Amino acid sequence: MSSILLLILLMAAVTYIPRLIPLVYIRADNIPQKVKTFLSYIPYAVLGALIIPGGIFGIPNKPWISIIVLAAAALISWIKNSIIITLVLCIVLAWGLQIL
Amino acid sequence: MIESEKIREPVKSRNSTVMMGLKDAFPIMIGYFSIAMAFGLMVKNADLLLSDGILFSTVVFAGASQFMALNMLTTGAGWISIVAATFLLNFRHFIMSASLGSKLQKTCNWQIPVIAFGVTDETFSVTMAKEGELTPSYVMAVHFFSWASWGAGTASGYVLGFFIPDALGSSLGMGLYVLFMSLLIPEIKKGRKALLVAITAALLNTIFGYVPFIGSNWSLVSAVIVSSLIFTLLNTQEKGVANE
Repeated sequence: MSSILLLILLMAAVTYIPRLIPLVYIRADNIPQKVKTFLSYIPYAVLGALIIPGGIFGIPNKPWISIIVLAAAALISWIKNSIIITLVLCIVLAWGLQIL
Repeated sequence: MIESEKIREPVKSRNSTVMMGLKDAFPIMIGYFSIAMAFGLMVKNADLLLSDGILFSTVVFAGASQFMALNMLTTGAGWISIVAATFLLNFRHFIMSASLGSKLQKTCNWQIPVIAFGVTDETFSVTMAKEGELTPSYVMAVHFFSWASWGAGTASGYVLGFFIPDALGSSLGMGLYVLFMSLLIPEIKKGRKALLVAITAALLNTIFGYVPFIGSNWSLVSAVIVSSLIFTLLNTQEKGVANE
């Protein structure tokens, strides 16, 4: 087995196990309300933390273009709630700004 | 007669939930396809095989960590540190699976290991935005179509690599963050809480990145837990005041 295959299998294992364990042991009816509130905030927090600071360096060595694209993404999805339209327009914008 | 209807109905509704899953997964599929193309392109530039790229995407199925692993490989990092970093980066799925578990129908059994495999930032955001309890077939449909698109995008990016200019490649990579943003904004429009939690987590993640012992490996997980905790405590205080 090549070392890259071993790497892929190990990465898969350490990725899959944390995804599996909570699903095996946790169900809706045995969770207190406070914990439910906490868990309902997790998606917002995850998205916020993924976008900043990582997104500022989304396009290597061009933080200003990345910031403009992020702002455009926020604006477009605010006006029109469509992931596809936002994604297509922003990728075109990012490409255009880099070519200019 | 009544018996047979009882038996038939779940099958019918299962078909419709699979279709609903496909419909809700569609934006993710478009996003994943283009971002996975950027990944496939990177695999090719790292002088790895097409089969390596496809295995990465179909067996690991965790976007950000795949980009990170390739980056570390090309800068000569050892595979133990790559595996450790992957664990730390993907540990956020632990919290997501717990959150998803709280919304899943109790009837899930054998589906659990299958559902667990497909938990990503995007599939999680889409399934959690759905009202009410989630049926296993709906969640599995969202996961399956997203996974298939991620794998297909990787292969396409590798094969089309000859024709994709650098600027387009990095623009496709930027699509990952555009996708996160377009999942967050609709939640912010629904309520101010989402904005406050997201901004707090973003600031904490930025600050924690510079704190010794937390560092870039643990900063995301800590930022998510701390910010969600702060607003949970504030929320129960507000409710206490309102009740009095």
